[in-house]
Amino acid sequence: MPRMNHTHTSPQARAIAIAQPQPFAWYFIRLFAAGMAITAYNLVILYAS
Amino acid sequence: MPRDERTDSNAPSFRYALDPVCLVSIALYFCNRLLLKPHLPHHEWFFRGHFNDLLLVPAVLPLFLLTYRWLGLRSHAQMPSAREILAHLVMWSFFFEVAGPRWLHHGTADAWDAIAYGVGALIAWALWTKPNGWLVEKEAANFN
Repeated sequence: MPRMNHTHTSPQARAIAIAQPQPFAWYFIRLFAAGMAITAYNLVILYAS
Repeated sequence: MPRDERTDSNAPSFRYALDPVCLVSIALYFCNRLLLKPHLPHHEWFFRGHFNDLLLVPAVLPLFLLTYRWLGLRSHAQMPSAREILAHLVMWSFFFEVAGPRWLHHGTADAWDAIAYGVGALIAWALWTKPNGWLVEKEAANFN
């Protein structure tokens, strides 16, 4: 059985890890999306009511 | 299931857009707008002026909370908390009574509208939180 090297990271895995947004940044992206949704909903309510 | 999903079996889970308080409020809004209002005299003040304002929080807050849930910003399915209700009440009072009339030139600034949002929020909060409280108290009494 070949010896497993757990410390090795393939270039593909490293590229994926770099491309993934960091949790903190991801939180702010979701926060921004929520802000946009709130604004859109409020405008719909304002003009539709 | 999200990591911090609360698993309190006593707490009824909030059904967001399918919440009965939300569905009844939306139905009342459309009944008032489409069926009642066109037949009311112009000087009638409650159903023409403020009834729909009472329904803002119970009808709309669940849809906002559902969006937060989809975005992963609300990690549980519990009834809306007093803090969530209050934060949205302040936001809507500002948006519809200050920002809308002043900067978007739409709607009229009326303090009574904001008071109606508040009364509606209070009723919604009581409906969302009290049945749970009563249920827990009842179960505790049966247990003892």
